[in-house]
Amino acid sequence: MRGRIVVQFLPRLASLRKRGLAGWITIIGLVMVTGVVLMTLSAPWISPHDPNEIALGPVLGPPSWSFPLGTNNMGQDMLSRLIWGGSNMLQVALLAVIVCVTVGVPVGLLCSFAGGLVDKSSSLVMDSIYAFPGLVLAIAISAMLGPGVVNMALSIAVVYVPSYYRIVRSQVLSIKELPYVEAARTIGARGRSTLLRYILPNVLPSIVAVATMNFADAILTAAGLTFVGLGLPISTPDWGWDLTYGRRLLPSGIWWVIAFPGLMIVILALGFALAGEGLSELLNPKLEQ
Amino acid sequence: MPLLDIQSLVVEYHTLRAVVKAVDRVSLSVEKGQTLGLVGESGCGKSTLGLSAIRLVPSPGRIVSGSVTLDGTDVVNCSENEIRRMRGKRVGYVFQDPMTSLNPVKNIGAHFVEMIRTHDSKVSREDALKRAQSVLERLGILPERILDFPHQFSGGMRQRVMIGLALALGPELVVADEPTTSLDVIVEAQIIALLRQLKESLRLTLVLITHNIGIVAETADRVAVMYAGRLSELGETGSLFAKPMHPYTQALLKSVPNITKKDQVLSWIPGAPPDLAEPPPGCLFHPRCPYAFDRCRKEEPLLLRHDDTEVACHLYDRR
Amino acid sequence: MTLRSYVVSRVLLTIPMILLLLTIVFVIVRILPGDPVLVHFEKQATPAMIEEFRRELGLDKPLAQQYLDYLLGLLHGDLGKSMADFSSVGQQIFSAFPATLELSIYSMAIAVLLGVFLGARASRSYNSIEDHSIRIYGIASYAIPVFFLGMIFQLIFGIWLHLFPTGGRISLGMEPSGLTAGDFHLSTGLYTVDSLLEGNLSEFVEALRYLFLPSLTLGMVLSGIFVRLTRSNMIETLRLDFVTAARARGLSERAVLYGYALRNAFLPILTMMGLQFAALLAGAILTETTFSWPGLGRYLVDRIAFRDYTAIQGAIVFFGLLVALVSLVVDILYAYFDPRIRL
Repeated sequence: MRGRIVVQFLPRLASLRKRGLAGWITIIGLVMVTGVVLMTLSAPWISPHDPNEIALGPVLGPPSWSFPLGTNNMGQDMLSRLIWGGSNMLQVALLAVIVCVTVGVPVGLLCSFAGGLVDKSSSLVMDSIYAFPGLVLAIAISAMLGPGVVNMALSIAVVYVPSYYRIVRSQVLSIKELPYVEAARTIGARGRSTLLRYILPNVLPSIVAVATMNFADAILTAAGLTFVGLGLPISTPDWGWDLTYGRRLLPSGIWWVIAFPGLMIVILALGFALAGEGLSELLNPKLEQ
Repeated sequence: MPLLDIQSLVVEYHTLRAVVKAVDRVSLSVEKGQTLGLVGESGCGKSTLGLSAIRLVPSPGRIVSGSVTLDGTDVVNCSENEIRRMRGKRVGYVFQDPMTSLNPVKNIGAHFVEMIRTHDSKVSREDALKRAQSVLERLGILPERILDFPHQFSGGMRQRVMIGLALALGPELVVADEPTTSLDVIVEAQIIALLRQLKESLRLTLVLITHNIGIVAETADRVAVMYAGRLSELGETGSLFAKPMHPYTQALLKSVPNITKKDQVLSWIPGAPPDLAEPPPGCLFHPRCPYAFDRCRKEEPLLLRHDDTEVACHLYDRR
Repeated sequence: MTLRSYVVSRVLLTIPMILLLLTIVFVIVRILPGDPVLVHFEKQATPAMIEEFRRELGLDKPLAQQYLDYLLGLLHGDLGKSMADFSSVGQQIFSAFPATLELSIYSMAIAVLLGVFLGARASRSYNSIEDHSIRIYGIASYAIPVFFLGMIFQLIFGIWLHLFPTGGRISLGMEPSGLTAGDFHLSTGLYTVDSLLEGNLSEFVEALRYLFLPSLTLGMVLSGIFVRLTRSNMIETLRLDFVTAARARGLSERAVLYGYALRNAFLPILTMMGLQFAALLAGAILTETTFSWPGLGRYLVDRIAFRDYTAIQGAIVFFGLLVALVSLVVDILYAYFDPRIRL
């Protein structure tokens, strides 16, 4: 069954171009994301220098031919740091999304399908988390758990699980009442198979759209956590860290340390956001004619 | 001079797929004090025709050619200000679904006040409300309900409010677009009776747009039958119902069930209206017409006069 | 349902949610792995010092007792004691709050005004280049980290163009003190208001100068959602039957746009303002840090740097209560304005 879902999805991707503006936006977004991911994955081969090596160039040197993106206060090459810098963020985001989906979707499915007190109490918990300012909660959890990729991912995941829960729940509630589901039940289909065969395939597109936006949010939250001082250890090159540190250099007019890492974060987040926007419009088309 | 005179009107919708002729060279006129019934299936262009009378065809629709004249004034080419002043004051419009045609967050008094004061800013709010109340009272709505909201009324009463709004400024022409379609049969009968009564007491000129032939039979002086954007038959109500000429009109009349006959076989028109993005050649009705012959498939029939009726059908075209 | 009964039921609903919130925060701070006290001290203290420290903060009591003390304390407005100097966290929060409040108000105002303006324009020129660029702005403004945008503004407007200050709330010695008339003293803590109360125009201007960049930054990042909301709402409304009916009655395009379309968008915008409040607070934390704005956000970040966990807990509880209160107020306002929801 999983194989069938994938097979259904691939031709949809190919027909994206025909779907007008929404299709284009999704493609542009996905291209941006893929570009960044490829750059990060090929870092060991394309990075001109070791991003951690200090005193490679002048301290705080502006962009030049030998160092196209300049150097920071430790003489490290900003270009190399740029190419390597996305790795942490992408790992954190990926882990966060995986955790979110594996927790949020089943919980949403089961609780809303079960109905009654289970549904009501889980909704209350999820709504409370959802109402809370995301960054604040992530800060709280991250501060308690300590630094590290996994911890950061977990704090972000907790904040976004309610989003999946809610979208799954609203779909389940509307589909649960549909005639063909009731029909299935009258011919004796058991709860679990009803869930898997009817409800899950219908809920999947929305989950994909939410997951894409989730990536964008995760990246921005990870950057935010780093900025607030709850980031990863300094040893790994990281865009968020460069931004945070580079702040002190601003009054001296040193712009290159923050500009490029910041730009990369924007490109990555924007890529996911565009893809998410496009996907959600493709999957829930609004009749704008 | 007729009050409303439409000549060779063409209204097109420019969609991504194609250009659709919603109204294709339609000419008709309504004399003062007369009632014209405009009938046809959904999508035949009658609503678009109605909206053209006040130049409110929604985009992507546009009036492409032809003329619409209201008591001498050119509706198509006049300025935005002029047409705006005519709307409501010289032409009253009653819309199909009063639930969606009234602003849900404004009480009905506010609807009237806004309209009255738009056309004459010197009228005070109190006077406008009083005028609204008197109009609505004649339509059977109690004055103390003037500040209630649309959702607090039943469907029939909401339609009375709509009619009140259309009449409040004393227009010469009233266009009613499917005024009873969203109502149940009993309420429909009440509204139609109300319209007839108003028509007589106020000496209104009325254009009644509907797909329900029954209403037209009892209210209209003349009937225009539209199909796929073109006029297929136009004539006096009596003659049209007694001796329908166009095959489409005949089929329409036959498909109305007769309550007095026993053991009826319901008749209907086979096929479906054409896709206006890719219309068939010749007469647009020929795929569904039981009398279609060779000429129908190639040549578009012209609207020609036979006694009092105009008909666009090759069966009557001896040329 | 009357307005009164709706308010009552809504308030009653908020109570379990707040309780849940407080419990969640308590759980996070106390039960997650890692003893806050030990982390606070890292490696420098003797067991006796740690014990004393715990006792002072009430952290030596059993967990259930701590939970009750925590809840009861909150009822009295006690948000705990700071690990740094045992001073009242509540006091510190209340003195930092007005700065955040002022920043929030101006930022939200900018977000809504900018968003509605752009959204309305986009809806009028539907499917044009203007429309598409505005839509892209709507998405892009969300994707840019607020602190990055702040830094760019600081760089361009503060450092290169010298137009605006890059940090702080006002220059030394220019803090407005509000209205003083004999024994009567009124100050709101909001510099723009207090300076006007005092009648000091130069202080007012200074306060605005410092307020400009941070609120523009936060406002722009929040405006995106308002752009999209206004635009889609107005496009839908402008196509609706009652708009056509209004036009058929002779109303001008402007009356239709503002009276009908925008009015109908008003309620969703109001609700969105409430929903965005949480995002506003989150953004405020980052903005205040970037611009050294002495508000709650910066307080929280400072306390994190000092590993002052009781203060962190107090601040987070305060944030949560604030959000719950605002959403309650917004829901009530909504019910007041939309008669349909009560019936």
